[in-house]
Amino acid sequence: MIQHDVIVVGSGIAGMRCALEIKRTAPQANVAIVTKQYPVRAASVVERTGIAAALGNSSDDSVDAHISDTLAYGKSNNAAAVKALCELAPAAVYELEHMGLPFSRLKTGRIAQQPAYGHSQPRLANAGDQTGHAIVTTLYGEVVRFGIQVYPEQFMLGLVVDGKNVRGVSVLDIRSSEINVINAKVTVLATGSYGQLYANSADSYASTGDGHAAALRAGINLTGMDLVSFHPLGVANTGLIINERVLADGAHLLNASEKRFTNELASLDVVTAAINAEIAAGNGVDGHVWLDVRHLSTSQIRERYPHVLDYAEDFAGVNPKHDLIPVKPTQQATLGGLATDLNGSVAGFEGLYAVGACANNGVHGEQALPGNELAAAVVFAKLAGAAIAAKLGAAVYGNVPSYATSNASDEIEGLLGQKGAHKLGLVRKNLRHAFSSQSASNEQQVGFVHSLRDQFGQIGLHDKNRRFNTELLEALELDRLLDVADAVAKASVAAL
Amino acid sequence: MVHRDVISVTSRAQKVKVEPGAGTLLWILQRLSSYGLLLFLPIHLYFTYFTKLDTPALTYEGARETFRAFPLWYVLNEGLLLLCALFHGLNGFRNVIYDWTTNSAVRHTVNFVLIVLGIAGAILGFWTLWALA
Amino acid sequence: MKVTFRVPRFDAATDFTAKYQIYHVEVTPYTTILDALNIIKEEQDSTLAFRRGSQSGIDGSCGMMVNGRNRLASTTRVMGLNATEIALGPLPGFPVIRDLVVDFDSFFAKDAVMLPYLVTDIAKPEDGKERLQSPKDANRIALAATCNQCGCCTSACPVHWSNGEYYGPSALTRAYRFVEDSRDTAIKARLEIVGSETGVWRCHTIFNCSECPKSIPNGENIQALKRKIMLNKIGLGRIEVKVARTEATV
Repeated sequence: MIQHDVIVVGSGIAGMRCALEIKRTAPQANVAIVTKQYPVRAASVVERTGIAAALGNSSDDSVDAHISDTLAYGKSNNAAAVKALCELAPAAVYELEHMGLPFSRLKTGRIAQQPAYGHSQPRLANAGDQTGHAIVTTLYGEVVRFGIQVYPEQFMLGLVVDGKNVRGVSVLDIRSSEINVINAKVTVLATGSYGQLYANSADSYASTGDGHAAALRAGINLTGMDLVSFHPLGVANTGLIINERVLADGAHLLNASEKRFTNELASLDVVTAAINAEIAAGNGVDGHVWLDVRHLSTSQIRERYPHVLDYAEDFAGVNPKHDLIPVKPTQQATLGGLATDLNGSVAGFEGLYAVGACANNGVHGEQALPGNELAAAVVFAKLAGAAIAAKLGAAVYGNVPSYATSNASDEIEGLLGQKGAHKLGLVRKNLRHAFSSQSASNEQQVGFVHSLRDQFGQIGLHDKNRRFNTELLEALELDRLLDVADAVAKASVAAL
Repeated sequence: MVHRDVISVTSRAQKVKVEPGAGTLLWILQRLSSYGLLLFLPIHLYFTYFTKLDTPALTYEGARETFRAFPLWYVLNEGLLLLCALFHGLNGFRNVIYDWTTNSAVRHTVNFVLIVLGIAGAILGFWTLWALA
Repeated sequence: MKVTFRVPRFDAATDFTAKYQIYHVEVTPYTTILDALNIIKEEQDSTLAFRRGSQSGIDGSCGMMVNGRNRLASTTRVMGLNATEIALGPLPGFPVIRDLVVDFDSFFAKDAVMLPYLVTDIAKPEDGKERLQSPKDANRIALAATCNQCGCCTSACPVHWSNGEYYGPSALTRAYRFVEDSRDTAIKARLEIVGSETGVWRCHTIFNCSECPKSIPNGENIQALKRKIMLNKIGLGRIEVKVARTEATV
């Protein structure tokens, strides 16, 4: 059995930032990160726009303005969390800069700040339009510098729980299908979102809510699972998001007969609803509408949202100067997760912390202000890291219950032995289609998830090879995604 | 330090070679010797074929005649050409070997053999020049 | 349109050579190679193994050989290839684990040896704010910093095929990104690493690596490193001047 003082599950921005903070404040601490991909492939890279912080470089911005923008956008935010976020965000951004993050700059040499939807001031610090990727790469560099142990391509099967104490995690080595239990004094969940539940998702294939499901199975309640935000401008067929600034700059939305059907300058919810209504009324083209940027100048596109050019070429095969881009609403962010305090600590459980998109401390309210997700990931992961480092001296390794390994291997052997008639891929596809911005009513969803759960019990796995078995991996992910789907559907019903 | 251990980011411990070597110097010399070849080879061809002396060029007599006509320039050009060509060719061969194998025993043997060949070639060449004089 | 995919099936534990399998997939103009692989996995053969990640080419999980060129499966449209038969393969030059999945361990180990973090003598500003950097200096590293370590370049390098200890273009571009960073002052240490026997001198300007999914000119970056090492060696390296210039322009 492997032992570490702290095991961080997930190598995204929150996970790596938390591990770094622990290692920085308590250098003797034995910290390790376990991830189901390689660290640089973490799902955080899909966050392209920028990180919100009231630096005041491009305008006369203030922390108070950031707070009021956040409260106005999120409506039901946890005010204390918002205050902490907005006050600590500038320092967090400066810290990333000190680590060498390649921010875009102003002529004065300071970090440039972009305007964004919902912000009263230009506030997003960005690295080109790949800010998430730049933060991940920079934090990964620090992980290498501090020599933090990383276990890549290990899938977390579940938390090892003894009563109300969390003793670590059980993991599956994807390469060999071996099961390991990692015993830790403190376990940090940083597993990201559950965006893969949605048919059109901007999230990575890895965002399957593994941490959420592990928490559910350990008897930990999830909060705010119905809080999922949609973006009107997902490139059809992939769900990748085109920056909404194109709408503010005069891009048009057209229906099948190439006519405008809505006011593009309305709020994003209204635009999303309008597109959904247009598609539902049969005025879409193959389930999408057109985005028209032909009248915008190429230099403007290249300067402000260069990804429009890449996306149009890579995913639709069109030149935005001459052709229309197919778009439809897409899932953008999931806010539900383990209820934590500002230090990431999960109430009622000893030795368990959650940071990043799998934690919910209420900072975002009903929807996340653009750029606040990245800021929250960095700020609260740092707070959690500091809190863990302070507590680590008194923490001890608990006993790992013997059933931890046997439960995990039972699950794997059970799945590998399944010979049912249902197809794994089809169940996954049906599940994802039940959840989209155009989806059916929530009561129907609950029943549908139940029937899919039954189908999942009767799927057949054809791949019996234990070496890099991606079918087994997909089955494990789907199993967890179904638990999350149930929680989401029930939360949506309760919210009505 | 020849090896660096990388344990932190991969599933199994890895060793990565960081072996300081003569790479920079040899690369600079390879470039310089290439310029040398560009400069000295045309002059060599000129000496060999276009000096319009009576004797056939590609004979010992022919070479001696050219040498007698331009003693200083001939020795200078042919000597430098010899050094550049030897170095350029042998180092090119070394590069091929270094691309192909990382076994240090093979590399050291090849280095030794090439140095011996180079010195032998240089002695032979300058001996011939000396004989012309 | 119906497109034929020829995919090698291989398990390093049991197989000596790959067997090829044929799949037929109905594609639309928007279908990417990754979508097609997902369709194969969902509907035809769930045992096919491949990696997938961000689906937008930004995380580099899905690098593979498509009709003889290394590409990202998620950003390559099937119809964009103008072919009805598509041969897929794992990235060459890396040990294959299974089917299209290769072993990146040595690749990431080399990257980690490049000191992939900022090392600097320039003190942080006293007010705790950012170190200044001119937009021009920021732009010098902006493109190299977008590298997603998909491995397409290193895998395309013939030198890397024959000599697995060569660091490869990806790791060297990582070093280049920090050497060119006006905030970094460990240039000497970095140049020593990339100038070692398994470093830049193994590059013979084949430039296969410059065909990069993120349009990073890896080959040119390696040549720039060579020039820097050489200038440094003969005493013309302007390392101190570089730092001073940044402060002056800001």
